[in-house]
Amino acid sequence: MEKPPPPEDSGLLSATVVAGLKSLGNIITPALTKLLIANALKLTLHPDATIAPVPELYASNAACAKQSEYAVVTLLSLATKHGWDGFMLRQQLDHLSINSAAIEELTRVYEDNRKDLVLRQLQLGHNFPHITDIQWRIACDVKSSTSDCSTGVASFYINLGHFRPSSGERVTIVEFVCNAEELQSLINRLKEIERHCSQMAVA
Amino acid sequence: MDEVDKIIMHQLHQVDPAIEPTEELAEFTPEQVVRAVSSCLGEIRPDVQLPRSLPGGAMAQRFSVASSLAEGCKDAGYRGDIGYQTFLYPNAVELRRLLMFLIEQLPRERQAAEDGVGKSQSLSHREILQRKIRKELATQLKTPWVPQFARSVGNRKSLGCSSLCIDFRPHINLSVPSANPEERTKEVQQYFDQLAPNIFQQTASSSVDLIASVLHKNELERWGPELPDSLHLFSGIEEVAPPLLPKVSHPVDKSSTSGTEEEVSPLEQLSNEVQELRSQCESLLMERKSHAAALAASKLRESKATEEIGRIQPVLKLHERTSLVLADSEQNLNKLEALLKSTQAKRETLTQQWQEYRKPLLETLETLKTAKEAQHVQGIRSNIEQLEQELQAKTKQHNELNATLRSASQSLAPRKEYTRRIHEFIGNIRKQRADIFKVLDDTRQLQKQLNVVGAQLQRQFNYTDDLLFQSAKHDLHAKRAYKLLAQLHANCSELVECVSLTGNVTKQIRELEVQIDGEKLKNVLTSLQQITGDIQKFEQHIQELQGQISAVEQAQVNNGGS
Amino acid sequence: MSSLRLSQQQRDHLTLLQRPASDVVELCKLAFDYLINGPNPSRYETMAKKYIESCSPEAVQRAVEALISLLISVTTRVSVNTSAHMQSVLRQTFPELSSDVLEVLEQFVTSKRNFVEGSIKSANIRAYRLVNLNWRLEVRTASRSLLDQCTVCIVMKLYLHTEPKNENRELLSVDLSDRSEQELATMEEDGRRHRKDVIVQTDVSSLVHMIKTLEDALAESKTRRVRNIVDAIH
Repeated sequence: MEKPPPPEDSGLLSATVVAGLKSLGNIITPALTKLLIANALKLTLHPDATIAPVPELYASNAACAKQSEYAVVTLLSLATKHGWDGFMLRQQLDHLSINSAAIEELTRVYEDNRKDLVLRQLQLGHNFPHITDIQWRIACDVKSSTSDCSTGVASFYINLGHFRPSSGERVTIVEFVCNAEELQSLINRLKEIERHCSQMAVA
Repeated sequence: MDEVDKIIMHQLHQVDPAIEPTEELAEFTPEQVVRAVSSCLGEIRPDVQLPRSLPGGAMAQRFSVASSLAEGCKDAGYRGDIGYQTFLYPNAVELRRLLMFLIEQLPRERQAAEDGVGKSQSLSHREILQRKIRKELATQLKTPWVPQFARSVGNRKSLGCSSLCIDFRPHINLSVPSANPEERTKEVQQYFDQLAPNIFQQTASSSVDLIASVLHKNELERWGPELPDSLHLFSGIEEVAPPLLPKVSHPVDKSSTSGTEEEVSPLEQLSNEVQELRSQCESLLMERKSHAAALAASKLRESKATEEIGRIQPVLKLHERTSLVLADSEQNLNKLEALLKSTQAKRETLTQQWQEYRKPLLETLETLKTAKEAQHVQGIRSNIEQLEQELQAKTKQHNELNATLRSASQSLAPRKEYTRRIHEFIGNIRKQRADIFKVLDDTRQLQKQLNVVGAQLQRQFNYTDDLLFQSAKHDLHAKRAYKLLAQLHANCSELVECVSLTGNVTKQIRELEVQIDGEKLKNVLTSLQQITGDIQKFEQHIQELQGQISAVEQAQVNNGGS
Repeated sequence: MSSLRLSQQQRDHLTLLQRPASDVVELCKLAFDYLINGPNPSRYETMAKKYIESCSPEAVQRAVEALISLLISVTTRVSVNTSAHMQSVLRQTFPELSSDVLEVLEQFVTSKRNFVEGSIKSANIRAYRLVNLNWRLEVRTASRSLLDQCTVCIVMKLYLHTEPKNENRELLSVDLSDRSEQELATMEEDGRRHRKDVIVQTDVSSLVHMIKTLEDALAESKTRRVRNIVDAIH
């Protein structure tokens, strides 16, 4: 169902990217090309992870290496964005007359990691605060500055939040109080959503 | 209840035509129950293998089939009480609840999916999307919850790490060596070779994202040249400028140099010369004009003369020929006559030939015309026939549709009836609710009154008690009265207690009655009989087995002995 | 069974209660009105005119305010469980009043008890309470970084309000049509101060988890242990 994009789509790549791709396997040695692509992929998939630097990449002709890194990352993201398959990618690269070993390596890496790349780019975009964690406590007042006796009713303190992906720190999105009836109606409301979802899934 | 049963029967028959509709659910045999439930479950969850029928023979097999079906129902989300007994010893109430649940769970898409099988290729985008959404929702509903920090690992396969959200925040000033190395200055090249951080270092900050940055930069570079770019502007000017400059500057240059080097008199001289030349030129032009006019006049005359010649020449020729003919008139006349004759003969043969040629053509034309007409008539005739057939088919269809319409309206009637009845029920329930509220109100009122009266009585008693106690010290009668009062009080409280006890007992009795009614509905007796029968069968089976075992053992002993 | 300790001034203001029960009912109604709409001098005037023994509108207003004060002290100072208990407290506080007037008073106090309880008891620390929840099932079909996708998420808008009780809040939210500009303005001001709307999203699997967790919380609050603790505090 993915329609193959028309041939003028090779215009998706900017001149810098094309130049960077062209130096793969030429100015940059085949061995280094392999290393560079692998490193770029790793850093693309795990932006937060600490990955050991590869100084030999920049030993000679560092400007070229930096440009090619940019080119590889851009190529992979664009291919993922437009949902190309490996064949499509190869076609595009052939069109640009790039070193054949580099094409081979790029296509292989792309095909092997396509799923992870899609997952990575799926996360990117505008979102409202996303709730993944819920905490609660039951509290009851004993005495307060305005009243001598307790209300005699337990209330629920509900805290909705999520964890920051980089640090794992918990972030509160919203916190509120309800009594038993309000909680029951909240649960009913949420169940209504769930019911709707399961109806959508079946119907 | 029988209407509910009818609906259930209807649905079951639709799911599996092999299920014979019976009058009531109570008449369902265990075999039918198993068949119905397994058909429904098969529809709800086509991926699960379930036994289709209840084996007739051994109890153990029957038991395992029933247990697995019960398990299946529980997996499908049935919350009621269910076990092997539901299938082996069915009772109407439980069975009705179970079947109603299963029918509610039946996928509604079934009909639509069957219709759609034939034209699955022509799915629109919308349908594809809907299908995708459905799949996604189904998987998400099924997948167990995983804490957020474990999602990037555990749920990967199902594409379910939707909770990790990264804002699309590009690093808007990503510095990467540009495409053309020749354009870079030495300093820039040196910077990129040594100091410049690579893109990963540039996007390491948590406020920007690598992919967002590269996508942004790529788009910027692709669309950037359309914006006013300094490089472009410059080259454009250079191209346009050269042809413009010399044009303007040359004449100015010349005049200025000549003006400064020589004195005023040559200038005047030259201007005089120019003046002279100009007047000369004018006179020449005038001359030329007059010559041109003369030329035009002569040309006109020439053309007239050639025209005249053209007109005169054919006349001249004619005259020449006539004079030739007239010179030897006799002979020439004969010649002319012979010529005439031969021409006439020639013409006749030509006409004859034409006639000969024309005749077959005319004939074929005729035949073709008739053939065409016949064909036309034939066409019309067949057309009429076709139309007649169509008409017949249409009338037939119309009749059929009428019949279905009639039957549909007939089958619709019960639905109306049902809704009417449902409305009636709802009305009754409302009425009952109002009654219940009224009764509750009354009860509350009564309670209140009771409380008031009780409190009053208490106070009254206290007061009387006080009063009598005071006077009891002095008066013997009063003492007796006080004792009597105490006794009265005790007796009364005993009475009250009795009344409340009676109330409690009545309540319990009612509850028990309700429970008894409930139990009666389950017709335990027959089930018990069945169960005892089954147990006996089991025992028999066991005895048989034991007999066999002992026989085998005996045989072994005998073998060992011998 | 202690009586309420009332100041002499308060008692003076409440002398108007020594009237037929029907008049006391009127006074109680005025007190309700005061709670909802604030003081209403014109009605006090008509009320005062109805009484023959020339009492001023101010006296009526004072009586109304004293009634409210009584309501508050009954609610906050006494832990009353049964209506009988309440009645006896009132009787001992006002030995001079007839029983039908006392009944009216009791009704007044019990019916508005929840209202006052909500407003006063939790008034000192105003936490946000959940008022309403709107939701929408969303499917993201494309984004700048991935043109073909199908991401399902649930977007919810939580309406939070610090005003604890429904009764009080409804007065702020319903029926905007026939209210004056000024009232609308104050309401808006109130909304800005006390309201907070939050838009959040979640995925289906988290939603199911949320429901389960909240149900656990609700079930926990109904266990004997928690009930015993709450009852013991009460």
